[in-house]
Amino acid sequence: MKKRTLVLLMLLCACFYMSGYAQGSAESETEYEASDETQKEAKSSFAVNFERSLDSYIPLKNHYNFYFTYKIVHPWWDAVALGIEEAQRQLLERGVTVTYEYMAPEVTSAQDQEMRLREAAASGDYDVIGADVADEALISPVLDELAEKGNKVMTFSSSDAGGDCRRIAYVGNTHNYEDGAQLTEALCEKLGYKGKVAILVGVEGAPCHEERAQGVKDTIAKYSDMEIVDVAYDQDSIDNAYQLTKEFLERFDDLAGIVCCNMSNPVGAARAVKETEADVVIVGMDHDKEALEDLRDGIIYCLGIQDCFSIGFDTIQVAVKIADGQLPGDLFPEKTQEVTTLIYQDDAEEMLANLYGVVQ
Amino acid sequence: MNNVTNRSIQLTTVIGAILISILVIIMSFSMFRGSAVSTDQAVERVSEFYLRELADRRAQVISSLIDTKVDQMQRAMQVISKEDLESVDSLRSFIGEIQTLYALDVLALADEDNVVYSRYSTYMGGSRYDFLSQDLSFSEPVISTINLYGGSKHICIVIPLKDLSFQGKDLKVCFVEIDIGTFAQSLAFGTEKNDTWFGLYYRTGENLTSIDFGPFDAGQNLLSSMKDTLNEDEWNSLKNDFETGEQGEAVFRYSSDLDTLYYLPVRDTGWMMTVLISGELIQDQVRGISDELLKTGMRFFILIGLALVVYFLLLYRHLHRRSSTLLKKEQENKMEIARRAEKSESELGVYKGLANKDPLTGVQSKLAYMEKVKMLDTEIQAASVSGLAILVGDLNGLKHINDTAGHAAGDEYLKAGAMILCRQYQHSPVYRTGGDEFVVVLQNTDYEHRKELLEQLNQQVEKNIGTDGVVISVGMSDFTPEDGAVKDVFTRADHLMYERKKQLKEMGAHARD
Repeated sequence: MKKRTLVLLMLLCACFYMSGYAQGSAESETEYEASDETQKEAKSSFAVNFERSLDSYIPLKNHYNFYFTYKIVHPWWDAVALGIEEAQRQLLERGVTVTYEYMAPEVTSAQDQEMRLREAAASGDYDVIGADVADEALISPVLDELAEKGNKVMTFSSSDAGGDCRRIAYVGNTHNYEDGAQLTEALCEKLGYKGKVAILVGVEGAPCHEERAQGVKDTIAKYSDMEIVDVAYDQDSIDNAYQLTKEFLERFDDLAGIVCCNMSNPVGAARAVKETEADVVIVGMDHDKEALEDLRDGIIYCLGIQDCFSIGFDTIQVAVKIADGQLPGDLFPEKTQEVTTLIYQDDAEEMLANLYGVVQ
Repeated sequence: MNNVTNRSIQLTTVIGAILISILVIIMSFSMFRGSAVSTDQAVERVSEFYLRELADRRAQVISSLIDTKVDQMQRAMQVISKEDLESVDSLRSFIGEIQTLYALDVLALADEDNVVYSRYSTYMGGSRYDFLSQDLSFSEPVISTINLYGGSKHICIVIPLKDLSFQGKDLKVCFVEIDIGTFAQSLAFGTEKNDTWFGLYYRTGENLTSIDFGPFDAGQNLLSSMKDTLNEDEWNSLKNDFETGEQGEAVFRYSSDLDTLYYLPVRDTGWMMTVLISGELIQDQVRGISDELLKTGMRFFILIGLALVVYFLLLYRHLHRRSSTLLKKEQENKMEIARRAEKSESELGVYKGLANKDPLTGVQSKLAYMEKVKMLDTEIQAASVSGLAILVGDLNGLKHINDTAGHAAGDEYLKAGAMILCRQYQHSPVYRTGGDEFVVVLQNTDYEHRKELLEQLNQQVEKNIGTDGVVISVGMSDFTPEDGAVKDVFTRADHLMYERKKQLKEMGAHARD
């Protein structure tokens, strides 16, 4: 009898132990998953969100054909293209085929863009025509004209059309002026709100570049001990940016800072500063790998990172809705704002890892 | 003596046992060490063989895959028709069909303006694909890799095109774009047990894939990461091999694990195929076999050791018994020898006594006298002689007695003469040195009283002349410092003896002649 009781007790203990162990395992697993989720969130929430998913909108057609044109063949727009490709892939998984053209000239040219837009409209092949406006003054009327002719027109990426343009929606950076101002505030604080500053801009007339440059100028103007010594355009060329910076450094011995308004500016500026070993603070835009490495190495003070991937992804989502005849409102805003995040030296490693898979 | 000998045997046995034990220990140690070295060598060879095989096969798979893609593209470009090139839609349709047929990720064509045509899109490829912006004078397929925004990497297998145009532009290349991550996953670059890893690296050490390589994160440069794990020469060798596309291996310790890296170039790609294996994996396997061999060896040595111990115990016992017996015999022999020696010595004394003694008169012989003279000469040479006198005596009338009364009477006469001298000089040795010649060596008491004793002797002799008693002529001489030997003293005594003999003749004693 005693033996039976003992065996029963042992069995009970074993069951209790096993159930406790199983519970513990389940808890551990849950914690792990949560932790993994947190990691994903952390990665996607830092400047660029690669974990995008389509919203719940159900397209009305099973095939769409779009035409997009942008300013210049440049890695920045390749990054936007990846967001477009991801949205296209996800739609394909839902049985919706999206075909598109994503075209640009080798050298920025508003005329080239105008020609492309007119040809696309003339072909009548596209559900939506999108433009990253190369020149606000020249392209806005063209877009109006296309819209007038019944084309569904949108703007995307870095530059919107003029304020009264009849394009249906814009997806992209809506705060270029603020980006320029924010970068400059960081520079001014770093310099103690005094010193001479030069401004590098990309393409003359390109709205995003000009807006940023204006943000820079207005911010500098706020501080009496700060002075803008020159403004120069590199035409989105790193070599030009390098040469222009060297000229700045030669002409202004006491140059304290350079504000770079596009992606090529900070790369060229940093090359010149490294070469001349000048003591100049550089702030700039975008995610060029070399610029991020310069940020990591302390050559560049800070960079404004735009979420290009989301710009591309949202461009397709909005284009599908526009093609279906939807208008800005509950389904999508007239301007889909994408985030720009200022990052500093401490963030450079993580950004290099996230964007380029580089681990030091 | 017995104890000492026993101890020697014990000591010899113990030293022998210790030496053999040391020998066994040295052999065991040597075997252990040899086994460890052999195991390491085996691990190295097995690792190298295993890794080379794995790397070779993976590299061949990659080369084969690339060849297949090239072949598929070439076939596709052979069958592309004018209709396929009439419009963007027809071209996309053709690309889609080929892509589906060959299960390709992305198939695309690019024209002279770097416009890329793919299944769903047409886009500018100049900034995305390096191979488009480079001089495209190549005639053979080219492998190119692209780093995409977001960290993923793709490989592009590119073939040049000729005599194909689309919308008035020459089509210059056809290419297949493959996500390296997917590509690597399809080659099973990781193992379930996480003990073998595969990687694809550029010659610069940069990882082509987004897959971790053993302890190295996907984004780490392999060469830079390994710099701290190798010495300078090893690292330079590794770097050089990568730069020149040579195969090789490197053994290194990362954290606490010993790992082996094997690398070899992938044909026509500029990539290095790498395989990393935890050294412990093969080592554990080989060590298991080695341990079994060692255990067997140890058992063998222990058995040999035990056998030797038993052998030495038995040997000790046998030697102990044998030595005891030998010792007993030896002792008996020694005792016998001692007994015989004692006997011989006794017999020698007898013979010696016989030789030194005159058998007729019982006084000491001439031989004894010569030994005495020799001894005294030594003392004289050493100037240690102080009181010494030599008395020389010669019996008168012995010939007459022999002639008249016979030799027996002569012998009795000699005995009587010797007796007179012995009685007179009781503390001195008397020697018969010739037929009727005697010598007495006077020292100590008799020397001190030599004159009185000589006077008494002469008076007795003179009395004997009248009674036909023993008449002996004697001369005595003392040792003087000028004497160099006994014979000097003897000569003077002998001369005096002749003087006396003359006197006694005049007194009526018989003379010799």
